[in-house]
Amino acid sequence: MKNSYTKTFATLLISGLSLIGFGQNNLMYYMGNLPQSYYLNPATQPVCNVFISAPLMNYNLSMLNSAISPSDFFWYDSSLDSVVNPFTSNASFNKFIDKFDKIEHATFQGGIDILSFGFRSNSMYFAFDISAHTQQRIEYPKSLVEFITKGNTNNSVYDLSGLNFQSLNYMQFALNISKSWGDIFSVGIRPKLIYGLAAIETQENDITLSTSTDEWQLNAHSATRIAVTGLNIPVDEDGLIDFEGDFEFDSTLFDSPSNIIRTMNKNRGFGLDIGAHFKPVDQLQFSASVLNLGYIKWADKPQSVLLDGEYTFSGAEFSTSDTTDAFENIFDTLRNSMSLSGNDKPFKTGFNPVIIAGGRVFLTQRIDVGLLSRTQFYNNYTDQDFILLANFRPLRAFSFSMSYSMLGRGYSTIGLGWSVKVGPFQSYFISEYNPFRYDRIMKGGEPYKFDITDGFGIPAVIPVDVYGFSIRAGFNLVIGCNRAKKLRQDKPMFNSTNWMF
Amino acid sequence: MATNPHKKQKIYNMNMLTKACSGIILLSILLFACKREELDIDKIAKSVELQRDIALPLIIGDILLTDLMGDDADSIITIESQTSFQDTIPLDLPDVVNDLSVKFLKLPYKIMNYMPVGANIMLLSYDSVSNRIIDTIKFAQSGIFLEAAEMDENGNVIEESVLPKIDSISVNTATAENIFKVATHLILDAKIIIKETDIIPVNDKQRIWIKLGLEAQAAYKTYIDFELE
Repeated sequence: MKNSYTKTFATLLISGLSLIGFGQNNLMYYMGNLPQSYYLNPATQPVCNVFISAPLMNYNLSMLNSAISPSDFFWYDSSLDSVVNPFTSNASFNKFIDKFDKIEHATFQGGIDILSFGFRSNSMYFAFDISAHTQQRIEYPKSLVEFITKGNTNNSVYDLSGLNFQSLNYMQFALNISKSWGDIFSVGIRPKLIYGLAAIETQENDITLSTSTDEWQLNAHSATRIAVTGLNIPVDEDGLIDFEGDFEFDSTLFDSPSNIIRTMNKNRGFGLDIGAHFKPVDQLQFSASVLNLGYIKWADKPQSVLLDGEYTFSGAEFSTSDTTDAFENIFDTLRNSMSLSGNDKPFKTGFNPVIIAGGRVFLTQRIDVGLLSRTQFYNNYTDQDFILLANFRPLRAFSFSMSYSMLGRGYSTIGLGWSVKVGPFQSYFISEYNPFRYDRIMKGGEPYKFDITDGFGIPAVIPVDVYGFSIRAGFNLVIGCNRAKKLRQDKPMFNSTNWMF
Repeated sequence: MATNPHKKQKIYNMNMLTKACSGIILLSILLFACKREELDIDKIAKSVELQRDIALPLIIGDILLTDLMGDDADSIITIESQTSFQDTIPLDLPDVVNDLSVKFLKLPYKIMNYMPVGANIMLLSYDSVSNRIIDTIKFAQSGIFLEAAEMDENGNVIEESVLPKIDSISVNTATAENIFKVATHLILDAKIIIKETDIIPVNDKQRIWIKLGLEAQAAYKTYIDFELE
């Protein structure tokens, strides 16, 4: 067992940091010098008159585990004067399991901008972007975790309806149009044309398990829907997916561009983002945006598997006249009690709408601080996040932003972002939900270190309340960013208010 | 004298740099100040305890008097001795149960006797390796557990008069641990009790209906011995 805890700590740290992330980067909400900031509020007009993003070099990646943080695996218990873990005692396990909400989720999201550009025209700003997105999410109810880890008690009902899975992959073509009225008010709209590539989603889940010493009763109603653009999904005579059959892409799909377009048009959807900024006085700005409205309709060879049934287990049946094993037929009965059916009806998958609202105060020309509320709506639950933001623009070519936010159970993560402009070239990097608080590992009264080389080691720490991580990075070509230069011809810069975005 | 606006801007930029640097220093201090607690490796608890509950229906079924008689069954028979029925429930439990400590084990039951004779019921824990009965769990500590059902003038059981026997047996922890750790089978044993030689009409409605459940709580306890250099 020597060094086993070193490995355990390291594994927890790595797994904790890899189960990270969240969909869109909140930090860039007020990073007006970053063209991509209009993704979070279509009313935001980039500072530069023209931008072109480097093709395939702007991406975002995020992962999230909403339930547990690495620090949830070890804590100091003063009553025992010991460092305990969830498995030290029944009490410690109950404390661990109490951290779970009714429904938890783990999410992976990624996106890449294939092409995007934008330009200003008087008070209007137009931007167009093509991007590819993937989103994988599993939702699981606390009752399932309890059932698996703690077993079941007499006369209990376990609601498993929150057990869901979604895999969504799509291409997005978006046009952003915004208009400003001076520095006071701006609005924006971002209609999106979406082409679905592949989807697997459980829908209409309604599953409950009642357990007692008298009977176990399972009520299940669920639909799993699958579609992959251009892919023929084999089915058997009952309309159920035949996993032993041949999954083949339509051979005529790539015969001509029109075939591709026709096929992609079958799995088409629409989306919409809207937003507004309002600045009643020079030092104060209010903002609000609604994102991710829309859906994809999957009509190209979709398949659905429907599960419906009720099964009651009252005990293994025995009879003096029956010599078969009493437990032999339980699973046969369960199988026969559940009806499985399939169909190829088109279905829809929705996105998870987000409302972001807040404001910022300009402390000086180059520093502003703000507060945002971010609410994301899922089928079975709602995620609420509050973010404190600060943006620094010490130099024209450099800006630095910070956020302090809640994700999961505590306000304990920070976001950092910067952008640098050299000539017309701009690069940026944003990282959010970085650990902010940590537990220090000690040994013999001294901070413990993981040895890297002789005489040099990294202090061993466990991040506290870190549930996710999110990064966005990329390169842009930006032109016409020095509006001050142009305006200086009309009036002194120190009287200008054009630095507000 | 007029102020040079460009000179003023330069001074302002320097102030901004000072503020930005101050901000970064403040952030660094804040980061290092946000240590929550110290976890001493030498104080890591070595004990491991996992507790699980289980509540489930175990068996349900009938013991038919006609089946008990086997080939000897007739419309009217004379039972001169005790006749018993046994049904075996295999216990295919994983090895991990060897480290279980059972906190409690209850066997709730509901039994109805539709036979014109009394009966006693027992559960036997059996080890097929050593071919021995380990423990006997009696539903009634003494006397007859199930009284004979009433019959009408035609010799048929009056089913409406049969009352269910509903209760729960609390199994002591030693017996419970034997069931989990040693026994390979549970045997349901039903014995018909004949007080005196009697003539009993037999039909296929004469039966004992049994429903048996299980409610238990057990904990898995062990220690992890480790050393961190």
